Amino acid sequence: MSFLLRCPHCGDRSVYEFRFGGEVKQRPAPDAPEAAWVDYTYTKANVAGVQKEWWYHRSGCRQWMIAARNTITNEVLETLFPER
Amino acid sequence: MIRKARACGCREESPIKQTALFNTHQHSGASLIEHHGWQVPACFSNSEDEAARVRESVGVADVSWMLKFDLKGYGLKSPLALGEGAFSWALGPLHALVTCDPSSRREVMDRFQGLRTAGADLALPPPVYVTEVTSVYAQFLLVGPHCREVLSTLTSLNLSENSLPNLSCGQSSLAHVHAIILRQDLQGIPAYQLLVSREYGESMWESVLHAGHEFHLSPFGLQAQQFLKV
Amino acid sequence: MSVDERSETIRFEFCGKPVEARAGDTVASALYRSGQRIFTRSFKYHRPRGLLCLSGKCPNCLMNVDGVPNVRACITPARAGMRVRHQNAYPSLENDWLAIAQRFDWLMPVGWYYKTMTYPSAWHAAEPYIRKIAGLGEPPPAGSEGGEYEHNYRHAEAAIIGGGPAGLQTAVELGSRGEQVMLIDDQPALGGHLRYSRNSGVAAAELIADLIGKVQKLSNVEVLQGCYCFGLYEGNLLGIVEPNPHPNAAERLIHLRTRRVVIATGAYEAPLLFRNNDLVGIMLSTAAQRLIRLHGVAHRVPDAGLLSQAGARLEWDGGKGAFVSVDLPSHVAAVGDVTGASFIAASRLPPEQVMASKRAFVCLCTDVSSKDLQDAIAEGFDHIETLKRYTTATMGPCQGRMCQLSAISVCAHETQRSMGATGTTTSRPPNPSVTLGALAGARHHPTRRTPMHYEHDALGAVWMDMGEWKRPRFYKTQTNSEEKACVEEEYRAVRERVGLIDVSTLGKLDFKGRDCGKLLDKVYAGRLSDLRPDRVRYAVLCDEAGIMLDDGTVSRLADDQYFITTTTGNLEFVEQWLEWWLVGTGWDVHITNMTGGVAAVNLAGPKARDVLAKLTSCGLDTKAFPYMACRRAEVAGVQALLMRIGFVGETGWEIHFPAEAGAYLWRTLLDAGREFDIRPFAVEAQRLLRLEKKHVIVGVDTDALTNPFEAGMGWVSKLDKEDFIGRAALRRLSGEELKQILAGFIMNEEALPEDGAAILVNGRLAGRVTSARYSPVNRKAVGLAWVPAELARPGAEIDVRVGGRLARAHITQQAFYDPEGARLRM
Repeated sequence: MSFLLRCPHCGDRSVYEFRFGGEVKQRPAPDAPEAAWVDYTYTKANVAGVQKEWWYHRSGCRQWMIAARNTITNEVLETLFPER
Repeated sequence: MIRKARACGCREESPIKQTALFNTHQHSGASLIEHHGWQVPACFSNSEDEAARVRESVGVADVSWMLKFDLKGYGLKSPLALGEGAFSWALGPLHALVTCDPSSRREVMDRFQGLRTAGADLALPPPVYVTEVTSVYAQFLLVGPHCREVLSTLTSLNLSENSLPNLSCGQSSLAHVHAIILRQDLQGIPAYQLLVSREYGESMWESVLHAGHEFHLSPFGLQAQQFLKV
Repeated sequence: MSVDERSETIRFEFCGKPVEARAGDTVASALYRSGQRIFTRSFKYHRPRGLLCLSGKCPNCLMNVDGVPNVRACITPARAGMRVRHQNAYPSLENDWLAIAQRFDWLMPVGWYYKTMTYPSAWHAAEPYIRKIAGLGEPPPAGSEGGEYEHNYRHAEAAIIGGGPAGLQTAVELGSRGEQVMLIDDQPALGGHLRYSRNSGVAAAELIADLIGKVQKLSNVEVLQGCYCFGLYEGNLLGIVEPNPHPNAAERLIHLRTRRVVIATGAYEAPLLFRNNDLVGIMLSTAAQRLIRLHGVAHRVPDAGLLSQAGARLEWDGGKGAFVSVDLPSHVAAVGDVTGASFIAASRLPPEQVMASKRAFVCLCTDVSSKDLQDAIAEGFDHIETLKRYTTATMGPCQGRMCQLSAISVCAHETQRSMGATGTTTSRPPNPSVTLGALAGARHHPTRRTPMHYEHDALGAVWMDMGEWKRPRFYKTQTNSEEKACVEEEYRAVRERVGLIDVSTLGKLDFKGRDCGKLLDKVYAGRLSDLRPDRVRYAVLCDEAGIMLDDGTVSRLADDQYFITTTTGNLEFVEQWLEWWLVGTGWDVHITNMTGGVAAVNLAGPKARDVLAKLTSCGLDTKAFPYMACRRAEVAGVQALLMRIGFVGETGWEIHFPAEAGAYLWRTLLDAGREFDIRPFAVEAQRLLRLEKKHVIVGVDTDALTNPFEAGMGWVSKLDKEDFIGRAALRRLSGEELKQILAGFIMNEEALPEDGAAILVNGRLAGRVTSARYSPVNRKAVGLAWVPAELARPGAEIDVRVGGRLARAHITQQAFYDPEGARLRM
């Protein structure tokens, strides 16, 4: 595995410069039923296709970003810094 | 009035400040002098030889005593006006590092004050927060015609002219350690400043010396630095 | 003729079996392509002989063609309907009974017939038999048709023998001068060695084509192609034989008179002398070159490993006899022979006669024969990938380069599938192999050292690794060098007087901004926004499942500034965690990692205040500086942050100050403490001191499944807070019965369990020890352990496995030392 991620600040870098932060998920409301919390905490969609996910540029600018990556081909379609 | 930017600091006068390389410098027989309260190698062997070796090949100096400030805030969307002696480096979208000589401390602090108060709406948070990080980083100056070759042994950061031109910076892994790399040529000689978290200082110094073996890289002291700046 | 001009197939017969040849093949090249390797048996010993020179200069390919014996198969063009038979072997070339002659070579030394047959009667008796077995070839039976023989008389002004580059150039030169020239060449085509040698290629082909073109344009130059000159006689008479000049004639003998003779016969290659140098398969390099360039007998494999790694597929192309790469990704191109564009399939694979051979090696690297592959397929490993793994074919140093094609063809043949359907095995890097040294590169071991590292060295520190950090484990003294004794000395110093430990490895984060309180309340389990300036609070971080991730101290330095410490190992994680939760909130919070820039020490013990008071004007009595307060003050001229906290259970201060003053302040503190007999203490002593206070270390006493309630730390979470990380899970857990609890225990007997020792109740496994140390205060070992909830009551008895036996212990509720905490608040 040696694909590139384009950090919006630093440019194209090897994926090993980053830490994977999991799928982008919607956090339930504080008073949501337990099933929603269990699902949020433990269930992964594990998409075979384009997935929105979190990456932290630990060897670089140390910012969190969201990437759209095809989990089958490792092609990264988009990266962006989320709104502060 | 600028908020006290440091939780703790040292009196400028007491010459007790040591860099992470103090023990290494002592053991290599460097002659140490006091520089803005820091114990700094004046030279390792002979300052003219040291400067000559830098001009011919490559050399490395411990400049951890240089002032460093970490700036964050929405005010960084616009470029910073900091005056002659200070340099501003973009570390992230709203994150900058400011480096300057200790002699410019007063001037730079005044500038920071100006940044915080200039046209600021008190209902909004301050546009810039400043934290002094002089102590946080071990800082090395790598200079010479071969410095790029030495660096390319230690990092996969793209060092080509297009990717890292003079007065630009990048962050990457340097000998497996996160580093800030600032390109700042000295009188036309290629030069980089390498900043790593202080606890890695000694380890990184060894890695740099090892990588520079092929080009007879050797350390140079404060006196040789003055020669090179002239 | 080059390899590319093949089109029609010529069929002839060899020993009754059909053989396919192409236009341009000789009998030998066609037989070789069909798999024939033994071409004759040697004269005396009947040793098997294979192709050697492929140019008519050796005896190895003599065969009987259409009744004509001793035909040099390697220079005889293949013709449709030829009947070719072997010579000098019975019943076959592969199995010749007379090969037994080799065993009797001792009976036939040089000149044996002179030496042994000295009696006339002996010779007469032996002669008929010797005559039968000696000699090569048999004349055709009387009356068989062989064709007629002719003579021919020719004249020329210049005769050039040899149509290679030298001969051609001479022909052009002499012909251009107007001389009547005859150019005699014994090969099927002009060009000599340039047709097949290493140096042939585009440039050579162009040169030859150019010369031939010129020769053809010269009407006064006649070329006798495929004719050989056998003698130069007096008066410049040349004897030349032209085979098959026309259908009725077998041979024509040309008498050529010429004024001048130019010899341009070139050079030929001679074999080398070495033991067994006559074995089948040993051939001259020029013979191999002819086979490849003139007859296309070579299995070429595109070197397509990198293309496969790029994602291209391999498809079998029967016409090319190769797997070619298709579906290349957009950023990869292939040019040249790797595309197989110029390939033409060579012989059919595999030849039948090697299918069941234990000595026909498919994989040279691992000695796997075609028979081995057959057997494996019969056992059920009939897919190329499983066949590879079961037999290890292609798994040696050459990684399939030499054997992939043969292995696939054997598999295809045995499973009756096409080459394409059989497919290839997957090519993966590195290929060729790479040394581990190259992959590892220079040995950079990042090492993290505190600012006081060399002070510890000077004090006799025995080092330990904590991740990348170097930390002292204990200090050797002038009187003690053994760990147990040293640790106890350090322990006593702290309990009875004062000790100093370097805790610079703690993670330290500076928080600035108006909304710091909001973020900390959101992420930490407790409440921190109400922390008053100059106060410090212990805080725990949980995840959404309510599991403890880290702990540390939080100090409020100003309205909009906090200073947070984390455990040594978790600093990077905590910083990332906090930054992640900040995303999208729009809150004014700015986090700076100060870890390397701030040195930290813990000065602890009943005399700690006395020592510190010598160096600072900051009020240190409990009224001015209560427990869990923090103050900024100068200590020995160094600006510092002082926190009154008590990890080790004695009055003490954690002092944070700039790293560059590390050595200075450490020494100054030790100097100031000398009158109180201060000691530096290290990690092992600290572990014991905190254990006596039942202070939990996250990551040592807790693991990746521990929630605060079972660790006895439910008080750290404020469940009435607004939404925070882990709230849903912690609320649920708070109402549940605990199944296991982290409890303190004291051994009933002299025994010291190891960290991790098993706990048994009624002989059944019930839990484990997380930390245990000998406690001088209790004169027994004490520790923390996971036990079933029903046992977590004071006095409950448990068995701990110590050194192979069970030792009894009992649960305690309180801390093992100063349970009221009075010592902390002195």
